[in-house]
Amino acid sequence: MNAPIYGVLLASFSRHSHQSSFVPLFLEHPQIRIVAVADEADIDGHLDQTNRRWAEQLGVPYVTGIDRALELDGVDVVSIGHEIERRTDLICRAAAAGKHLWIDKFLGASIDECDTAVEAVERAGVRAIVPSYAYGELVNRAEFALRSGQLGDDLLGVHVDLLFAKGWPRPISEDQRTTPFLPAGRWKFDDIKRELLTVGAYGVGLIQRLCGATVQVYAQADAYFFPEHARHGAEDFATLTLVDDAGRICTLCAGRNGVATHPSGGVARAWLMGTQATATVEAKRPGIDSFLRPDIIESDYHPLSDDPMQWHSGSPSVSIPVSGDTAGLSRGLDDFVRALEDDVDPAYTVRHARDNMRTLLAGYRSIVERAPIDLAKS
Amino acid sequence: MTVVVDDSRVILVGDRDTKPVVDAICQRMPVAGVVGTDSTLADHFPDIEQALHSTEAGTICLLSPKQVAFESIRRIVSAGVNVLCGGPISATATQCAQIQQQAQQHGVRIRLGGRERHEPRLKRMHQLRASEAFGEPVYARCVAGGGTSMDAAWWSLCELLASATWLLQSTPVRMVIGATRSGRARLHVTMTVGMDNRANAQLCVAPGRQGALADTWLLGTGGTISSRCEDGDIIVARPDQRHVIDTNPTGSEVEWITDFIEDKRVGLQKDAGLQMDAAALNANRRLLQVMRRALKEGVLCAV
Repeated sequence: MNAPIYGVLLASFSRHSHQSSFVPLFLEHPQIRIVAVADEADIDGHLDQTNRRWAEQLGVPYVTGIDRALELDGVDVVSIGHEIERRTDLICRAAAAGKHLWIDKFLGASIDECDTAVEAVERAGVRAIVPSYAYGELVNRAEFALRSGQLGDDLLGVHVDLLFAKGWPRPISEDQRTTPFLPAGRWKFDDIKRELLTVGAYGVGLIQRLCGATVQVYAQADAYFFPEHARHGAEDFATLTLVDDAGRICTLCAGRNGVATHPSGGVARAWLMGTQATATVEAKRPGIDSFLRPDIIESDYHPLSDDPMQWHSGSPSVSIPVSGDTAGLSRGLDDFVRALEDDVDPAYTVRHARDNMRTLLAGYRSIVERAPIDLAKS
Repeated sequence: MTVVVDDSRVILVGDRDTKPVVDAICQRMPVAGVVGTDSTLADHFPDIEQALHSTEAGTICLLSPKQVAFESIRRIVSAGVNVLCGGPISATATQCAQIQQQAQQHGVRIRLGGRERHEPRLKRMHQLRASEAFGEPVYARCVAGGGTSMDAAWWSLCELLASATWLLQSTPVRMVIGATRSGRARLHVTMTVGMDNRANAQLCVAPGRQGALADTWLLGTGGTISSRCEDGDIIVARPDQRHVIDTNPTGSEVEWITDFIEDKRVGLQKDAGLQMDAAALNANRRLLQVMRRALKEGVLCAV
């Protein structure tokens, strides 16, 4: 019997999403076929052009109006790559139409929206995956270390440093700093991303895979790399400390700290504190060290002028991970296809993503209140 | 008759966890005796009292918190012997004042902590961090062993805090501690620190003896400076497995002891927990109290 083919509708190529990174995976997977690109009618002209360009490039129709696109023949899966503020609505409509969901990072902009999305998916009985957090090399290698049994029968804590070595930090004068800190809720800016949300979600995802439910959160975000973030009073770097329901202590740092500060584009390191031993795990190892003179002396680390924070571009690396997919998205896609075939949940569901967001939001509250937040009571 | 005490006659006081350090020190400098652990490289004494009686010790070097009690320090000082102690002591302000007074009477010196400033990797990081290219300090991640007992974890946490403040050139203004354990001898402690220059630090005391793990990572607006535990180790490939040889088991201790004997003060600052500074001792005692509370209640506790 031939393996089933699943048709995917690409819902938006928002510049704040990773839809463009998903396309090569979908194209390469033998059981995935891209059916169309779609978006709403009320989007800005730039996004509309981007969507149309992608549709043309992929040789598929571009459909204005998500509801119309959901009625297309052959759409089994919707890949959600819209702005965070629009995702919940799209998830709910797609789930109600019986479509399975591949969701980029966040379900919605608030915990209420995340709850709504989870409820919609579970009520519809469709399969949904948030592939960004559970399949990467850091998680993979950490789980490998834990499964080896050498750390003991349990973990006492997990600690993660994960940064994107992107953007071009510059000195920040006092009058460029906006205080107080901007609370959670406003995520969309033209020039910045909230980096505790954007990068911290990966660290929280690792901790979710290895530990229990988070019950307490403490966060700090006083220092800045970029004047753009300082002007908004919105973090480009933050630390988070968590306690889980078994009393494990976890910490992480997350942020965007500028190009040329790491041999392979940013640290991604974790320490696993076991009852018998401690392990240190790197996401970008094993790697190949490449010191080719022309590559080094002719490298230009300056970000492109139309992508100053390097949301869609990288920098030269001298240490290249052996794995071509350190983010693990292809593993995520395999797990998703398996979940569709076997009618089971993938390893990282919308409920996990909702809990991840809950932890991050508690972190933002902790930064504002300068105190630990007790999630059990909130 | 005036007895001239030779400061360089050193007695090392350790325990099972610090035996590798004791052995390594004995290999690298003359040691008059060892207490608390055995060593084939120096005379062994069953306790500090016996060591004081049997040798003309000039300096007692306390490498393990197990042997560090107010009474034993008072006894050492009253014998006219200098005290070099790897970490803080759990004494009240009144007890500190008593010891301080006694030390002045007997003309002896006491120094608590400060090993991190002699650790070769941290010293090098401190030099590099002074470069303008490093920019403004943002973050320090310091991970070390030490969670073999409550007191050992406390010493390790104090040393990590001293390292972070030294490297970040800052003073802590906010500290939050979390702690957990598995059995009596497997403690795990973390401390998140906010500094007066807006920098952050995350300090982790791992279960296991101090020295078994030591990672330090500094992040500035200009880039990163790091020292990783695996760097410098020698990997030996055997037919059936790989084995790692730690090439630097003492790290900082020999230089720390030598400098004390020669009465050097490396980057001495009052707030660094060196000497018998009552404010620093109180601050460190507070860390111990909060650590105990965090462990008992299983929640994050502000210092």
